[in-house]
Formats: sequence, structure tokens, C-alpha cells
Amino acid sequence: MKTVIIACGSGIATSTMISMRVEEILNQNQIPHEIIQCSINEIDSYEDRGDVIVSSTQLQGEYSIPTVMGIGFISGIGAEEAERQLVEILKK
Amino acid sequence: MAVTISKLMENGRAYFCRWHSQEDLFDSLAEDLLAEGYVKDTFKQALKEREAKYPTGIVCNKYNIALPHVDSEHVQKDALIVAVLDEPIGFHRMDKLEEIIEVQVVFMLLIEGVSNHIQAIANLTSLWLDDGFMDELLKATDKERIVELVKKHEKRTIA
Repeated sequence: MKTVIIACGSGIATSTMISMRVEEILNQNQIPHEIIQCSINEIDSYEDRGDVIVSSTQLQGEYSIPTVMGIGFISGIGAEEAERQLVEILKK
Repeated sequence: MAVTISKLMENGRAYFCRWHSQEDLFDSLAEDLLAEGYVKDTFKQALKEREAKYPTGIVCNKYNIALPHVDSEHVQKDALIVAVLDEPIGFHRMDKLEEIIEVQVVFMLLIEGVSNHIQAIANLTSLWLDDGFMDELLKATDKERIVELVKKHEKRTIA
């Protein structure tokens, strides 16, 4: 089971947009998972449980797990690359 | 029952105008939305603070957009607010904070209660991924037309 942390400024708006897409991708790739949706400020408290962080905004902090810029899931630009990165990290 | 984007647009407002800056845009939208009962008087300040901390400019395929928003505590009514800008204005990029992009359309989602809006929030992205919708949106001159365009878009995308 993989845990994906999806974060945005509020933990509500853009992270919800990204979550739907991530859910589809992980299902298509048959990766069992749980999604934790949170605000950027809350990442620290979930980091230990997570396998990857997907964010809609540029992350300022340093994290102990890999991060993926998820803006492509919102803008359409760079979505394939973000998808590839995400799947690669989770298939390890 | 889940709320659709077209319903949120019907409940919302559309602006077609020329603003000189983001400050100018936020001031005039916030004042109008307050007068129309969409938001609380804390909205304007919250909007500016949020945008400064977490900018919302997004580079898209044809037209750059921005998604300024605030927490639900500052909102009175669920609605989608769209501003089509006669002249693009600068927003910092969500994914590259230092960079400023010229934005042509602002989508502002006002959500008072999140739970029954999850699907609508997620579906919103499909609007600007639809070049045909965006082309027509930039030509629109009233809210009714935008509602019509959103409905057409929903018919195309929701099987």
C-alpha cells in the first residue's frame, strides 16, 4: 500500500483537482494506495507515513520523501511527465 | 446532491472589464461580491493575503489563467465567479513563485461548504483544458452565454 500526500495552499481547492487525476493514474497502474490531502503547512505531520508528495505549488521546505510538481494535472501542461514521475516513484 | 459547475456559474457572476493591476481587480471584485452578498467583509483582505502567500497564476495551453480563492469562512454563497480580462494582468505563477505571467481569465470558486463540491472542484480543470470552451469564453459578453458554454462543455465531457 502506497501513501500519496497531496498538498496545496488550503488543502482543499487545487489539491482536490490533483487528487482526482492521481486517483485515476494509480488505479490505471494498479497501485494500491491511500491519499492524504492536506495544506502545505500540514505536510510535516504526514511526511513519515507518505511515499511521495504531490503539490500544486512550489514547495519551500525540504522533505525526506520524493516530491512531484502536480501543476500539470491542473494546467494540462507537463501532465504526462508528472504522471511518469509519480508512477516511477511508487513502483520502486 | 452533487453540485455541477453550470449550477455554480448560474449562481455566480461574470465580469468583463479592463483592470490595471491585480490589486485593482481584487478590490473591485471583492467590493462587488460583498455588495451582492456572496462574501463576508473579511474576504478582500483574505484574498490578497492568500494570493501573496500562495500565488495562483497557471500557464495553460492557450490562455493563462488564475484561480484566486480563500477559505470557506470568508464566503457566504457557493458560486463560480469568472472574470474575462480585456487586457491581461500579471499574476505570480503557482508553480514558480518568482515568475509573473500574463493572465487572461480569472476563475474564482466561492465555496461555503466543501463536502458536496468535491466533484465540481475536480471537474473545474476540464474547463480550461478545453480549448474550444476557452476560445468561446473569451468572446462571451454576458453571464448567460458563459452558463450556456459551461452546459455544452458538460455535455461533451460527462458521458
